[in-house]
Amino acid sequence: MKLSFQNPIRELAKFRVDDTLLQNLLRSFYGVLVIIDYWQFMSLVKMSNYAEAVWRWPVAWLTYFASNEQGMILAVVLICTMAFHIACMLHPAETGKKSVAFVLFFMMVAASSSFGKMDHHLYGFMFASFTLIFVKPFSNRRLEVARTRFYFWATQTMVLGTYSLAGLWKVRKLFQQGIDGDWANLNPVLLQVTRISIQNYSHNPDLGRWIHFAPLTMSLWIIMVVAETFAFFGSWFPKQQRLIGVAIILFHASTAYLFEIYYLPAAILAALLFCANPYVERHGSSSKHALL
Amino acid sequence: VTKRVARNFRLERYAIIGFMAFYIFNSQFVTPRINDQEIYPFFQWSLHSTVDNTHKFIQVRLTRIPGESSCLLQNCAYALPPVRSTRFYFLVQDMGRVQNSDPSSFEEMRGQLEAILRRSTAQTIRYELIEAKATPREFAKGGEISLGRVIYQGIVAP
Repeated sequence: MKLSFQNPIRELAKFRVDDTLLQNLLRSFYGVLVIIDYWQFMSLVKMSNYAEAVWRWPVAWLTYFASNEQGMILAVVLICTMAFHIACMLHPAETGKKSVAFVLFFMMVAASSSFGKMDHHLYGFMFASFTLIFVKPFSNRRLEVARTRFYFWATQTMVLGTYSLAGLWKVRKLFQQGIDGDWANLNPVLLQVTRISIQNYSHNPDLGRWIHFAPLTMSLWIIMVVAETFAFFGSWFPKQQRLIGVAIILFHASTAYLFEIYYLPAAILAALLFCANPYVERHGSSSKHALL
Repeated sequence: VTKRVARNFRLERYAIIGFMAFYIFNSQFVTPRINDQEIYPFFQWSLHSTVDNTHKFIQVRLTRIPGESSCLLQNCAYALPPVRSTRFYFLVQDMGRVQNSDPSSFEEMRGQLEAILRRSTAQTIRYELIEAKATPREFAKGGEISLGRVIYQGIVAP
């Protein structure tokens, strides 16, 4: 495995992009967003039962309407978002449609962040739907091609950057807690197993068996935190793109399995941007040139 | 025209990379806030960064009235099938959570709890809800749970 750490844009330039693949990627991206819009609305309806909304600035105009009308207006915004996402799916090269779709989606994410805490599940999709506005398949001018390449790189870097930010916080808190004499952060799996054992009224031997795996779970956790922290540089390695995509999907699968933390949209985004990265595909024999 | 586009592209690149740097700086050091709320779309990105070394929960102690023999639910739940469910566990945790804040739903949950206890035993028993803590290392050794304050107690008769 040869790792190259150079200017990522120049690195990507060595790979000739198949525009059909780029177009299909954009179509899939907006197709997934149509489904996500629906989930988004269902979670909005659910959250509005629990808490009073304090609308964030992109949807602050909702306060001009009576509180019983706000839901209906949001539903209209949602239907428009879905319609524009379908339009983008059909015409993935049109900047105007993609821009409007981004603004509407930005408002929808703001709406679901208005119930006390940020809904960061869709931030990856939100950043991507901004930078992918400028990704245009089938452009003839050399500059346009370079621009498309840059924005695709920026999309990847922005998405990976969010992992790095979460990783940096984990490292910081690990040392902050460690200085106080508590190194529990090194192996959160044990606490989780304790919690589940108590919740299931299971007997100690169940947990005893897990304790033997403590070095394993700890080393896996440390590898995960290190990988998460340095994820930002993932887009610097064109040949390892599919490996990065699979790693992110496995990461989300394991957090879902062990900690019951579900980030399905992020896993889908990883599959689209990294596993199906059109810049590292070659005609006919894709597996020959890229790892995995 | 090409020159203008090239210049714009250079500016766009600086803007995007600048935004990334700004976003990283904000999330790590100073997240801008209004009324203690982050300004959308800025976010702190501290996701599950701290792990507590102790699991705090509500434990139930059951005492048979004639004879006064008692046991913690953790150790005798296997003998009481209706109690040995995650639904019962979460019911007890919810009771602990709402006890001070929401008396009406606490009463409702108490009714559910007693109904389940009545289904599982034909004896008169006293139940106590106790604040409890468990650390992974001690719990793994011998199932040790340290008990704290009793937050509620009641009696269930068949």
